[in-house]
Amino acid sequence: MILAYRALLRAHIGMGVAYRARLTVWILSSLFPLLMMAVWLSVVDEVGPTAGWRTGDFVSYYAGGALLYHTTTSFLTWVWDADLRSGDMSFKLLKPMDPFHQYLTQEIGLRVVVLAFLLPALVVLTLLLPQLTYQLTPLGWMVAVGAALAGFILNVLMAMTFATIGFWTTQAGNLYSLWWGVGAFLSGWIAPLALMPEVVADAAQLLPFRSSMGFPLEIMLNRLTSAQIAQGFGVVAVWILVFAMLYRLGWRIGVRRYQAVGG
Amino acid sequence: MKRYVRLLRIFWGNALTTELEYRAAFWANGFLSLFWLAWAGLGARAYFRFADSVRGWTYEELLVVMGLFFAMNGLRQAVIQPNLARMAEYIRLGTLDFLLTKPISSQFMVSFRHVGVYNWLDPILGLGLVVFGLVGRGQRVTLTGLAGFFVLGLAGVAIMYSLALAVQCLAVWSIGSEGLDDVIQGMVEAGRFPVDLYRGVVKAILTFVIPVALLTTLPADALLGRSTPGLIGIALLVAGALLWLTSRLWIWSLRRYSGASA
Repeated sequence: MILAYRALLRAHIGMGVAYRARLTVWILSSLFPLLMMAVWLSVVDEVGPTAGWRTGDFVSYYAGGALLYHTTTSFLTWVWDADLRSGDMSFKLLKPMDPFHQYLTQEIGLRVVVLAFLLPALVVLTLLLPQLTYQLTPLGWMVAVGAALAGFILNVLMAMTFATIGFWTTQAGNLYSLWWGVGAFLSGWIAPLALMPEVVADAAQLLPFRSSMGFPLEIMLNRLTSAQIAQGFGVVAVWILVFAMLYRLGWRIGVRRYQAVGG
Repeated sequence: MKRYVRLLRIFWGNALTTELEYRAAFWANGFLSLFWLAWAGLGARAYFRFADSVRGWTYEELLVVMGLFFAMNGLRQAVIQPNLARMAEYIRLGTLDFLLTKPISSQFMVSFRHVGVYNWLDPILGLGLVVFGLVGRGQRVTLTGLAGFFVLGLAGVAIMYSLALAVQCLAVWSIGSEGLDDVIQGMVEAGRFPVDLYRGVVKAILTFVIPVALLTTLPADALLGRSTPGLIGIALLVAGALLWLTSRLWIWSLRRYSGASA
């Protein structure tokens, strides 16, 4: 199992490296967090700190947010959908390994390549821009990385749970888009949760969306107490469990319906 | 000219028939367009919890720009993206050589051969949001404002098209050019907000280097009655110059092109 994982990971990292030009263009052209940041900076310029957030906070938040977005977002719902349409799912089923692991390693491989590109960029930026700072202890960094990893696992599980809907309908990708879109308000992606209306911010504490964006970011910006951090990890753990079970259920029932293309 | 109109009708009619085979997807995409419009409109509210206006733009005025962004982006996804996405393949597979032998303009072929109807609702919804913003602001649109809007909007479309054609030329030079449609997407994406909301260098680049300001901010300004005849003149000049320059660039690129196997 470990051997197989190592081989799959190596293959998928290689694939990511092969598409590095495409990845670079994709990352550079996803301006959304930068645009949001630019507008917030204008707001701060005009009316002063918003709810205690200053220029430096926004710069650090969105720089970290861009890194987290590119390393924890999962597009597996669409990959899976394509495999169902093209019949590639049949090949995956023939291999003596649950397709789950094949998809998981594929996602990890891609994200590792993205990380290798973005992390040095972020480090250079923190050295160049005085406003971009994260005052964290080594332990704090480890906690933040742990939170991001947990968020990544949850995202992958959510994407794959939605992917199993593909056994019934061709709209799995669209459904996942809606889920992600609603989640963007509750994750801290549209704006830091501290600046959202209280109802939204409160609901976000218990929902799964914050785990891969707002939660690790708030740790990075040193805005959470130990108790809040513990609670955040608790929430992630529960949701990972819930989606792991939902995925298993969707897969068990769904794969029996699968008849391959033309079947 | 007549021949081109007839060709367009055949090309796009074809694409439409194909897409309409997938009824569910067609309506699902319409619904998604509506969802993303509401998403963007609500998302921008976050700023206005702390300020009534940002750099002279109120929430309603910002919605006018955002509506124009949706309309422009819808046009991009319908006409520019499907053609641009195929360019790398044209060159890799040698399809371009084949297209060049056709007795019509090659620029026309690479720009308008395909059309996507996935985002068919975006331009309509976008203009709806423009109206919503104008009504919300209680704006009385004058006839000159409307005329300015149409002229500036057309100039914006022309500029977006020129930028896309310039990227097509880039594709002719380098084969490994997949993902070039993402570049245009990034440019248009910056037009989501009025350029005044950005600062310093970014604003200067978006105004003078990559004229994103001309795509959404200036047409919105015209509707809001903040445009001047001089500005409209400059926009037309920029649009005309870019159209001419990029079509020259296209011909020049083809001269350097030596075929798929060479």
